[in-house]
Amino acid sequence: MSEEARDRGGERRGRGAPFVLRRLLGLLLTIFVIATLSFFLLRIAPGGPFDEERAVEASVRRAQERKYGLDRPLGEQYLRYLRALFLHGDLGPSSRYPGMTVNELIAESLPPSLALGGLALGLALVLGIGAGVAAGTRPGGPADRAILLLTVFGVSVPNFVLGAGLLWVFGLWLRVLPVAGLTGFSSLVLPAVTLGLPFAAVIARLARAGLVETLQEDYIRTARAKGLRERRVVWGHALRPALLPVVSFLGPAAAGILTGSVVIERIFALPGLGTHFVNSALNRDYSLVMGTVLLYSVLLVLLNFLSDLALGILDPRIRRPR
Amino acid sequence: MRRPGLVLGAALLGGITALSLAAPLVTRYPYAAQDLTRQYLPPGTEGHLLGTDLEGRDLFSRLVYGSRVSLLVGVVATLVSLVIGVTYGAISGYVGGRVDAVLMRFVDVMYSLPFLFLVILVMTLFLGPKASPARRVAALLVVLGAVQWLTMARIVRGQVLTLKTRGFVEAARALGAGPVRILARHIVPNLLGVVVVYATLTVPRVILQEAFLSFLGLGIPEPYPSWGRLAADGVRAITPVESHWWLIVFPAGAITLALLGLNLVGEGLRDLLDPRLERRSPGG
Repeated sequence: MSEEARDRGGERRGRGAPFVLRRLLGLLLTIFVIATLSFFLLRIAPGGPFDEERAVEASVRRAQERKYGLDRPLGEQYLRYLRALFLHGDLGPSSRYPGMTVNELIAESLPPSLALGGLALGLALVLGIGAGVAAGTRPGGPADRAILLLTVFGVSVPNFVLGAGLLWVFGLWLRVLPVAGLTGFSSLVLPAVTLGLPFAAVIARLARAGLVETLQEDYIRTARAKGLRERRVVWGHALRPALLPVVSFLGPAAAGILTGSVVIERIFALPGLGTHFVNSALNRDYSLVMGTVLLYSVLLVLLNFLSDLALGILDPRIRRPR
Repeated sequence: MRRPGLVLGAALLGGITALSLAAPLVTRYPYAAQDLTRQYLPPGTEGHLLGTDLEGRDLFSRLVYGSRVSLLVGVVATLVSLVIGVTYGAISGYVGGRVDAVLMRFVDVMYSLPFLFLVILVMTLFLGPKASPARRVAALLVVLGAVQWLTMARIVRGQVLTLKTRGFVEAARALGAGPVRILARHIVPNLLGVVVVYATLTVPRVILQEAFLSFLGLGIPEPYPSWGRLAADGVRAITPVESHWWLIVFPAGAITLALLGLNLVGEGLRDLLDPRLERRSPGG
C-alpha cells in the first residue's frame, strides 16, 4: 500500500459520523481559504474589469463600479462576498457578461465539463486497470514489457500534443469524429480520450505494482492450492487489495483531470468551465474567476472524500479502530 | 545490458544536452530572425532542415535554442522546489511530534488544492502583456517551483524519520552538535540519493507544465522559443484547409524524447536505489 493510503487510513481511525462531520468542516474551511486567497490575489493584481482598450468616461466607469460594488472599501467588499457566498450560495454578477450571474454561467458550463471529466476518468480506470492486470499477472513477460514502455510514453506526451494528433487523424484525415464544438456524445470522444490516456498510464503502473505484490501473498497460494482457476484467483482474490493504491490515486488524478480539461476544452472548442476560467482571468471578471476556482476546489475536495470512502470499503482494516 | 531503460534515457539526455550546448555551432539561422518571404517552407527546402514557421523563422534553430529554454526552466524550477521541499521535510521529520503532525497536515491540505489554477491566476494577473519578459520568466520559475515541493517534502520527511534514530546522529548529538548542524552536516547529505532521484522526475513534470502554460499563452514569452510554445504554435497551425505538420511533429517529438529520457533516467535511478519509492502522477 502506498504511504499516502496508509496516512489517510490513520486519519480516519474514528468511527462514521465524526469522520463525515470532520470532512464537511474541512470542506467549508477549504472554501473559505480559497475564497480569501483568490479574492485578495485578484484585488492586489494590477488591472480591473473595466480597464478597456478604449477609455470610458469617468462617470460611466464610476457608475459601473458602483453597480458591482467595486467602489466600496476592500474589507467591506470581502465581507459582502463571503456573506453572499455562505448564506445564499450566491457567487455574484459577472462583469464580462452583463445581466448574467456567475451561478447561471456555471450552471450552463458545468454539465459539459463534468461529462468530459467523468468520461475521461472512467476511461482511465478501465484501460488502466485492464492494462495493469495484463502486465501484472506475468511480470517480465512480453505484455508487461510492452505496457511498461507504453506507460512511459503515456506520461511523456503533453496532452495538447496528443489532442492535436488525435484531432488530426480522426477529425481531419479519417473524418469520423467531430473536431470542435459540442454536438452530442460523439464530440466528447476525442477530448475524453486525450484527457484520460495519461492517467490510464499511471493507473496501469499502480495496478501492476499492486498486483505483483499481492500475488505473492500466502492467501493467494492457498487459493491456487484449492485448485481455483488463475482467472478467478486474479479477479476474485488478488485484485481488490491490489487496487488500493489506484483508489488513493483517484484524488490526485481528479485534480489533474480538472486542470487538464482547461487545455482540452480549448483545443476542442468545448463550452465548458475551463474556457470560462481562463477567459475570466484574462478579462479580470473577478466574480467569475472566483466562482470557477471555488467550484474546482469543491469538486476536488468531494472527489478526495469519495476516494477515501471507497478506500474504506475496499479495505476493512482502515475502517476499524486499531 | 542490465538496464536498457537507464542507458537509453541517459543517451537521449546526453544527446539533447550536447545539441543545446552546441546551439551556435549546429544552427545556420538565428532563432528569432523573421523572413516573410519564407513562410511555411516544408522541411528540407533552402537549407531549412526542419522547415520554417508562419514568420519564416527556421524551426531547427528554434528547437535547438528552445531546448536551452525548456531545460533551464525545468532545472531551475526543480531547484526551487528542492530547496523548499528538503528544508520543510527535514525540519518536519527531525523536530517530530506535534510540529511534524501540523506540518504534514498542512501538506495534506495543500495536496487537495488545485495548484495549477493558482499558477494560471498568478501568471495572468501579475504579469499582463506589458510586463517585461525577464520578470515574467523569473515569476514563472518561482511559481512552478513553488507548487512542486509537496511530494519532495513528504519523501524527505520519511527518510529523516528513520535517519534520525541512527547511531551516527546519536553520536553527533552526544558530541554536542546542535540541531542545525546535525541536519546540515549529518542528515541532509544522507538524503542526496533520494533527492537526486526525485529531482530527476520533477524536471519532466515542470517542462510539461511549462508547455501547458505556454499552450494557454501564459508561459515563456516571445521571443524566447520554449518547446511548449513551439508545440502550441504548431497546434494552432493545424487547420482543415492545410496542415503544416512539421510545426507540430518536430516540437512534439522533441518534448516527448526529452521527457522520455528524463523519465527513463529518473525511474532507472529510483529502481537502483529503492524500488518501493512512491510513484508520481502526471500533469497537475
